[in-house]
Amino acid sequence: MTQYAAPEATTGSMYGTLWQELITHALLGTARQPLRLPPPDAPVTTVLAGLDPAEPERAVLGAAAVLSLYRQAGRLPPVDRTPVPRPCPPDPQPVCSAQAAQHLALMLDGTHSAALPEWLAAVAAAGQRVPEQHLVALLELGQKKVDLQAAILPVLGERGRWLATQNPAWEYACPQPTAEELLADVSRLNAIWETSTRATRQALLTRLRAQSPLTARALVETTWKSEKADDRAAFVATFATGLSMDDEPFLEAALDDRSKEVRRTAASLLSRLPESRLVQRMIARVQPLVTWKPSPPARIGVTLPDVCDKAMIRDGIEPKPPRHVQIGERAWWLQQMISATPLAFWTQTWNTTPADLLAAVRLNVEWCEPLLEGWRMAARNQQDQTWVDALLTAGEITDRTEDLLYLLSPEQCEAHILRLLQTHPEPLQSTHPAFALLMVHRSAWSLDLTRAVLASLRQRTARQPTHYDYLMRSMFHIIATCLAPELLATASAGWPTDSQYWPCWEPDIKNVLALLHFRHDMLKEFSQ
Amino acid sequence: MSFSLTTEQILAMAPDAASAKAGRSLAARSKWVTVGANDQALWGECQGSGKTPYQVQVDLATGDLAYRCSCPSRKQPCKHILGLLLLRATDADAFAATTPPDWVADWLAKRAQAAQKRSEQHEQRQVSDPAAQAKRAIAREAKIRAGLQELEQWLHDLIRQGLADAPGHPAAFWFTPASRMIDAQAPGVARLLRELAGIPNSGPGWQGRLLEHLGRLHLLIEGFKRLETLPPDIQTDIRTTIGLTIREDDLRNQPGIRDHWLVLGQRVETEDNLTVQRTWLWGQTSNRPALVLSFATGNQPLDRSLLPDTSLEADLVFYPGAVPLRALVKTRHTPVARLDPSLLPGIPTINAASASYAAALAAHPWLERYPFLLREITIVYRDGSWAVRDAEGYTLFCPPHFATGWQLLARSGGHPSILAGEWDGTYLLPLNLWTIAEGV
Repeated sequence: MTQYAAPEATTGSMYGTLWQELITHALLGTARQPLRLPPPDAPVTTVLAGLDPAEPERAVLGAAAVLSLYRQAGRLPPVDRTPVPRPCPPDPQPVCSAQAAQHLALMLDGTHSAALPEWLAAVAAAGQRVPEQHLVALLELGQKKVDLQAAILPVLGERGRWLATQNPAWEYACPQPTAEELLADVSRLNAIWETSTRATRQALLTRLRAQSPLTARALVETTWKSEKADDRAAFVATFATGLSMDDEPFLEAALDDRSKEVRRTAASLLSRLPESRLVQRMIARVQPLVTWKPSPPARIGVTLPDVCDKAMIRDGIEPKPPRHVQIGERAWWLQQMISATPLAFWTQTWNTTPADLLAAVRLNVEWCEPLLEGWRMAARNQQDQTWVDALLTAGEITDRTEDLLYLLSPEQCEAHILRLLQTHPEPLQSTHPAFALLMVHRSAWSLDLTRAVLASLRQRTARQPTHYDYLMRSMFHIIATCLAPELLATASAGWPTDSQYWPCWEPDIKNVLALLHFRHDMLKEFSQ
Repeated sequence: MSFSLTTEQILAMAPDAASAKAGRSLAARSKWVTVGANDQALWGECQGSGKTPYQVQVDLATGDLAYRCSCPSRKQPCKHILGLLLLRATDADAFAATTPPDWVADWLAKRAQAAQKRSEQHEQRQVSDPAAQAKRAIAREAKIRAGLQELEQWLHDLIRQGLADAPGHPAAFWFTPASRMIDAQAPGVARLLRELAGIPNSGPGWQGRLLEHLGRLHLLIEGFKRLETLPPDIQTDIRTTIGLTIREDDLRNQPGIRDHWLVLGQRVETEDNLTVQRTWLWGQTSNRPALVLSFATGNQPLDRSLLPDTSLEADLVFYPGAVPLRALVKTRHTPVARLDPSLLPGIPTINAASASYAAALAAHPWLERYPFLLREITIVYRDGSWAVRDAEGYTLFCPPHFATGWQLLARSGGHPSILAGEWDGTYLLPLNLWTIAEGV
């Protein structure tokens, strides 16, 4: 690697010696030692012989001029024969249009950058790639914004992937070995497993779990005993991908782990497996406590558990409720049991629907909350869209449990928003029941939804001022990225510009329309 | 003419990043009330905050890309000009080929008249008072001579006491004699002195670098002392290095070298309040480099008439000297066209380029930068440094703080490329790169 050190090396030639001697001399100063000029036995020393030792300062400076010029003119560049990376293969993927690249440059520069995910998706959908001159900025952006990485990868093209392999900071964009390739090369797999960071190992496990959960579990087992608690918890969490009864024995054993986090994760995963031993134990506990009386109106009877024994604690039941939750201990135990019981158990055992169950539970005024909260937690853990939908329809999703809304499919979400906008005709604001759903529903809106939201917003701007509704204002950002750009003309017209409240709305609405306009132009590049 | 500017070239004209950004925002058809173009010009009306839209126009026929906008911005070119050019570069279909409206036609006619007048005036212009000018020149030379004498004493004191203490000297140690050289009207020497200030703390090897620079300074002083005894070219180089530059007007009357000049790249550096723009050209037939300098102080705009990656047929007059590099564009024969990389001549090996540098340095010891146009080089990144390497493995390093290596690598794709750069004897500063595949 010496040839990559700063190119300052002097040769061991006569010249090098002369130059070093001269430097030493100049450092010490002519006042401290006499100057000795070399004998004129070579072209360069012949030139030096013309200097007058009686004027040592001039002689030193003169020699410096001669020798340094001699050196600079005669220096040979170093030779490096270490192999260079293989050049980038040709790219069959077409480059996006010049106008599209212009839009990208604008967004990379910070203007209308909210539309970048949509632009990236459009390029990918068109099977195109980003031009070379924007690759560096895009790769650097992905390095900073992890949530954009997945959208960046498909538009990098051969050139971008090739470039990423040469900068460790862009590892995320390097072609990764597929799970099949890894499975075919066990020694490589083990090598990665044993030498990588937790994040890399976790990502590797998730990828493997999707292809071969068994291999992933076997890999975890090879080092399980020697891993740190945090690592064990991170690895066992990856079992959520490709979870099946094959994992049950391992997870059941993990209920006895030293780490609470591992035990908690294992219990949560087991509760998603209706045939697991944990679920069977949970059903046996909960069945005598909750009863169903189908005679209309259907009712649910509840008996609270008496004790929280060691077996319950092993199955993930916390004996003490968290301090901020206002709930009795026994109700708390029941709530946790419900949350670890498969939701299908109730509908199947009692041959009913989530909607009927939610109607019945409200009639049990005393123990309604532990049951509802248990079901909400179960819906979250089991990622049950039907139940989230039923909870939302029944109005049982609270501000505190809005995260459940993210489980809805875009279609479910949109249907609910449209329904709520209709049933609650008051103009949109942050207290409107559709508001939270609008915040969740980030994917492109349909024409119907766009029209409905625009209509509601127009009413709002005509009737009320903006002040104090900060949530509402933060929503403009989302609205602008979601409105259907096909309706640009509709969206641009019809605002109550003569309303007394318009001046306080105008800047926000203008920004929304500017971004919508940009998105409209931007997507036009991909419509031909 | 056909419009040939790329978005990169247009953005390079922007006076600052904010203008570039604003210009990009305006590069959408929807931002313009009207746009139009013909062979001679490009125009559009852009709705600003006022009632009447701004009238934006670009003269494409004259080589130097003149423009005008009715907006009040003092930036040159303003965001409207940039936006119009960018729109033309990315969405040519938006421009209907029409006859220009009156406001465009009037402006073009006025420009033609003004150009006519200028050329007439230029022919009439003469040195105001040759005698007074000669007197001033003699007085200045006397000042310089006195200043250099003082500097020589300072230099000798430095060597007598030794350079070992140099890293401990405050910046004023170097800046004080530099200011004196400004007073002595030798700004070139002042600059060389200011450059010394950074060397003692520039890391390992500073001793050699400092001595090298002092040697070069000594050579300049000695040269000026016996100026009359030296060949005319070297006299000129010494005078230029000291800061006695030749007046542009004196050169304009001399015959130029006509060639197809390829604009390779541009470098802008700012020191104190002075911005220097170096534009490197290469003659396609003459196979020689040329350097066009543009200076600006404060917020003055730089000359944007030569854009990298363009080419033009023009007469260049070279400033005299042993290694004539600096030139001025005397006459343009064609408007700018997009540079065709297949026309780039270039030098096949780093060794050959080094040999031409050695020859140049031998003729002009104060040469600071020399252009390299290298064929078939590869960009290499290792251990945090960028370098370029030819087919034989000879390697030149890029400066330690060179920041756009990834951009070059992205463009080259690791394939052999043509590279233009500035060689300062130690580092090669890349200016531009063309992939050979593009040139075929």
